[in-house]
Amino acid sequence: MEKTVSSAFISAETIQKQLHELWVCLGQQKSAVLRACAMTLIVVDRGQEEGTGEIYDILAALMRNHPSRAIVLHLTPSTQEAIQARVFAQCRLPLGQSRQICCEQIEITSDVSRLPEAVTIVLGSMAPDLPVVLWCRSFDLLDVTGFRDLANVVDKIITDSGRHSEPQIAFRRLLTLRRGQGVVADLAWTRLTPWREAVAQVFAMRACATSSPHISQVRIWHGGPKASTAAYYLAAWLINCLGWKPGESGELAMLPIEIAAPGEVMGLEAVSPEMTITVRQQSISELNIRVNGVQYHVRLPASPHAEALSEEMSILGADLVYDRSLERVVELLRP
Amino acid sequence: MHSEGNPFQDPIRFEGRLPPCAVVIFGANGDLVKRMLMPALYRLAAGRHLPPGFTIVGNSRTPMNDGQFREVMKAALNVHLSGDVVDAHVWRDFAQGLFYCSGDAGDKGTYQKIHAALKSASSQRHTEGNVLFYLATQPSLYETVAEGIFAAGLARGDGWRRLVVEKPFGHDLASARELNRKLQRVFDESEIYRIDHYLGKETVQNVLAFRFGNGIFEPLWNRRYVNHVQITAAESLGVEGRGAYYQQTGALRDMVQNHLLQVMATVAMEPPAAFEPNAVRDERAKLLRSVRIWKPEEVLANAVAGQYGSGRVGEGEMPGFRQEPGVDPEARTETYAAITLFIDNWRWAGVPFYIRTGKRLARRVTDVAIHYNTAPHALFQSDLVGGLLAKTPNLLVLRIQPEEGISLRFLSKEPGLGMRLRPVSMDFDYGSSFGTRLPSAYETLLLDALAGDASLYTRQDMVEASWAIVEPILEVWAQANFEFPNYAAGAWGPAAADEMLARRGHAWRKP
Repeated sequence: MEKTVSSAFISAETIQKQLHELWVCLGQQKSAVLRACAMTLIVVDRGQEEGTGEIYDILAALMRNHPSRAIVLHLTPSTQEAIQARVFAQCRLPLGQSRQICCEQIEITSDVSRLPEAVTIVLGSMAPDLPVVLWCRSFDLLDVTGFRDLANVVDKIITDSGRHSEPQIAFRRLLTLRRGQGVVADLAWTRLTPWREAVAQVFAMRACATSSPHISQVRIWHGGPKASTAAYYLAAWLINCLGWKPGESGELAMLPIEIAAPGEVMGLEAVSPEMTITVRQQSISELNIRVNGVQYHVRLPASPHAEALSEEMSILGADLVYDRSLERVVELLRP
Repeated sequence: MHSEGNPFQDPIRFEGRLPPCAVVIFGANGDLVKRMLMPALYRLAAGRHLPPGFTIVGNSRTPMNDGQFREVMKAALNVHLSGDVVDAHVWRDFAQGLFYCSGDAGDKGTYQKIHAALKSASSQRHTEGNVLFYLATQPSLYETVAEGIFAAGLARGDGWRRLVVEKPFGHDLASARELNRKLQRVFDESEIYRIDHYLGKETVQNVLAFRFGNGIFEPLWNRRYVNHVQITAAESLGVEGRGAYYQQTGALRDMVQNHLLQVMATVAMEPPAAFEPNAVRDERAKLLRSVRIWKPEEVLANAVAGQYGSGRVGEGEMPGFRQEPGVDPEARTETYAAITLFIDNWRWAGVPFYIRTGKRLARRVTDVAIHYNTAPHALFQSDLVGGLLAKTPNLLVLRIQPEEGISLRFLSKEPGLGMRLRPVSMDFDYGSSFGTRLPSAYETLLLDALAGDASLYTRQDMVEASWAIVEPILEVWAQANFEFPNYAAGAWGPAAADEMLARRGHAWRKP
């Protein structure tokens, strides 16, 4: 079910009116529908990022865990064309039920020069009294003036430094944003959850827990010639957990695997005199963990982007582990 | 547990991590294991909730080796993993931790084999000596197994020990105490986890979140505002091949003494000082101890027994209970129970709590309905609202199954000229607000037991308090000469249950 609004005078009111009409239409359908909304998710996309076309697939996957009013703001290169909007509902019929569950989506297309105007439409279209999460697909937008008006009113900003060519700059920007904005998440960090979870499980073993103060070497393998933000995050988190003090304690090595895809973390190894703990990405779907002669596997998410976003949308408060890791990584990269 | 002080843990992102451990399941070839436990454990593995090296040692009398046991369990998963298929990668790691020791529960050699399997798991799979024993056997074997565990020296070791016991916890107060005495010869009360799968249901847990996580409901959660409470656990099915067992048990023992009193305790308890196992259980126990115990002469006015006869349900003709396979044609077992309870404490004095449960009722539904008082001054004519609705226009329903959620009914002006009121419902639906699959009660409860969290498990004092409530009713019913059957299959229970509520000016909901 879809309503397209396209005029020189698009406003939040016209969108609200179209939304209302959409629900009236849905209500007249033969099968019952239930409107589900637990938050507003604003997606800002410049059409330059990889996987722009996947946004709606990701949103569809997210709606299962986080039914939201999704507002997708597509920013196009400057053409001076009118802002366009369309509203539609994404519905699904849960297995064995007769009632469809529908989430509303608003798509706004605007050229980048009209960002401040588009932002006012977004601000007026948010679902009232519910949390607002902003998923900013373009890291560079974080510094754009019009964008800041939007960033200032949301409860959480989710971005992704994974492809940033200069990790040092990305981390500083994130730190600044986090200090000024509050809750900021980086999907490059979120995608490490299965890695960190696997390591945490290893250190739940008595023998590993006992040997952790004696770990003197940490090696992290990353894809491509330069370490990605994810690789640095993992390193910072590990040495925080091991209690290494800046400038002392053990030896940290970041090792490239040039044939692997840039940005990926490929493996880690923690070495103490008593044991070696190894976690390697065996395939895109699996981690292989070896410790103390035991080998086991951890499944990686089938849709890492959607699952990472879903994870972040579940956490609306402070994340101290991330905060500490971000501060540590900035410290690590300080010249 | 090492994970408590594990600096690598991230409670926001990966909660409920478990220490290395093994589970020994007695009755491992039984229906409960195949239908419930194994799917729950597999799903925990698939969700990355189980620790590395997690080991399951199954025991039953059926001769099998490890490989055959793995095949039997995989076949069970293929049947009972509703809506899912067994993932080859998850199964590969999960199956590596499955072991089997055949043997009779009364045979000492059985426990020696289990001892050896656990020792091997500890050294090869690093389970660190932590063991959870799960009694999925016939209740008559509980004592034998506990003694076997004790005699083989399995009850103590390097790591922790826990024992999970399925209901029934006795068949009356005396037998419950006796069972407990025997179990406590081997395990400390803090190591005994009495499982009541109702408490593991997501929506029952949500009652705590709803009551104590919000500021607006708890002030209305008392005798000043609540008129009465109805707790319904209705089954549309009959005894489904369990006739022989069920006729020894009946609805009061099968559902009320355990599940529904626990649900009532969760709904009515005082706020715990902290969300910690014993703080929560203390409040539940205190609530159960506050329930008024009926004197024999009060029982029949406040407790109604029923038994279904044959009847037409939809297109089909359903047999009566006495015609079910394995059931005595003269059976006097109740397949329906409705009771009125009062909680004699400051909060609930004078508020009736009506509990009903039964087989072959009109539909399958479990819910708790809180009926609120009317506004203090009747501004609108009651005939504009209509009958009983005018007496309790506001209704809060906590739906436990099937469509888990919460509804609030209130009156609203009907659109148009004039002032007519009609009830409308504000619904929160678990399935639509959180589209993820709800974990099964067994997943929740197993994870809790492995993590050492007994919040959702029943403690002995709660078991005893529950038996103290239902025992006088059972005794009077045992002497009563009911005219069974007294309700038809597909109906909402016997007329006497309606009369019980009508005497207090109330009526059962049709959920």
